[in-house]
Amino acid sequence: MTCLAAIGSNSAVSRIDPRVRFLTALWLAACTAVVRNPPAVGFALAAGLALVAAARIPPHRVIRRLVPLNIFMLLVLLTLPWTVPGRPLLNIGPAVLTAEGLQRALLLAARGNALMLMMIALLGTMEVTDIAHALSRLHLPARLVGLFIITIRYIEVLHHHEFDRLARAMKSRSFRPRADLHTYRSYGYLLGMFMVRSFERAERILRAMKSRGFDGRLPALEAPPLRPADIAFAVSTAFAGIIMLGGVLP
Amino acid sequence: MHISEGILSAPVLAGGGLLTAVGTALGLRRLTPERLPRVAVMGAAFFVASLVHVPIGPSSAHLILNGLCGLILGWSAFPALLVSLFLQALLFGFGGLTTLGVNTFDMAAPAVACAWLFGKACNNPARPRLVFAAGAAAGALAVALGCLATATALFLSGREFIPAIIALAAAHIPIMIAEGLITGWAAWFLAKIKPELLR
Repeated sequence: MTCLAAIGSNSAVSRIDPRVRFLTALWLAACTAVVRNPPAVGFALAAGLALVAAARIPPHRVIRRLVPLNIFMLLVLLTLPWTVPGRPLLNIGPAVLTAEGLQRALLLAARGNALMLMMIALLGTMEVTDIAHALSRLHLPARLVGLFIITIRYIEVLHHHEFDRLARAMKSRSFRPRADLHTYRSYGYLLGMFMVRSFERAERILRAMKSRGFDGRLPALEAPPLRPADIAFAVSTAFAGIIMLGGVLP
Repeated sequence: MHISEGILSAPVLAGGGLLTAVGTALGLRRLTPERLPRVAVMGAAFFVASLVHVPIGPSSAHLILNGLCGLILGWSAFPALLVSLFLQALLFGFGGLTTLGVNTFDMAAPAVACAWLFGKACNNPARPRLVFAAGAAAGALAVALGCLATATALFLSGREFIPAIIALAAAHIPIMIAEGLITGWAAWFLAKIKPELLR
């Protein structure tokens, strides 16, 4: 397991029941996504940092997962201060940098990072199979959960046993990707062949599953009952969310 | 093309979630026990394929392939892309949990649209040139429509995003061309080797 590996963590957060962690992640995300006043966003950011700290995730893993978000945020930080009308702070020719714009851009960046930190702490430390089983026990549509389970099962298989073999074969024939038509044509054929191989593998998997009586359902294993610590965690995050929302409501 | 967490307004997030829920429900209705493993494995294949970085000019971009995904999976592209995007958010930090609905719709709706527009032309093993043209059009249009949907989501969240939208759209023009060519050749290849995949 390489690209699907969860962030290894042995902490108070990683011992919380996966169902509870998934639901609290959704609840905190929903609360954070709707708040727009600075104190509530600050609170959300603090909550995200506290969760990451409690989950004892190595800082470099956290930072790496925040990179794509902050590349997007850089675009926001560079453009918003110039486009939101308000009190001017700086004039460069016709462009006006406003205090309101700067505040809004920083607020969006803080909110985005808060959301990401919460997700990293609560879901990033869970194996994807645990998430799948949690979704099944939370009664998401059985077909969707089945799709999720089989997808995560075969990502690694297809990556190592099909895609890498084709890519290695190209490399051994001295293929070097460049920005030209030859590269795009080669990638088109590579993907075509990869789809053919994946499809043939899917057919074999289907036959194997049918011979074992697959009827569309993938039964989940028995879940352990919730512990008092799980319930305490659920209640406290519920309160944290309500405190955040308290800042929006009059 | 993934919109990050924290940027969109609450009504846009809710609307995207609703549209994706409808699309996913429609896709799941077609997911019989017979088709479930097939779609799941092909969904895994598209996840792997999207890890490929393609050189574009002096830079590089990862493939989106929602056009090819639509041609091969049809309506099942909705649940398959939902799963893929959830995993990408979780494992790599692309997109996020609250933007999952918007991002899935932005990629899956163009996939379904392209399957509807170009599916018939791609199902023509006897005319590989037509398949290449239809595949290329599907690949490019799927990225363009995805970009348009992303731009709409940003625009509805605030007029102040207009310069950011323009920058995003400009960055996607070369990606659109590369995706179109790659999808065209992939479709051409499939039409010759395994035409039933494009049916």
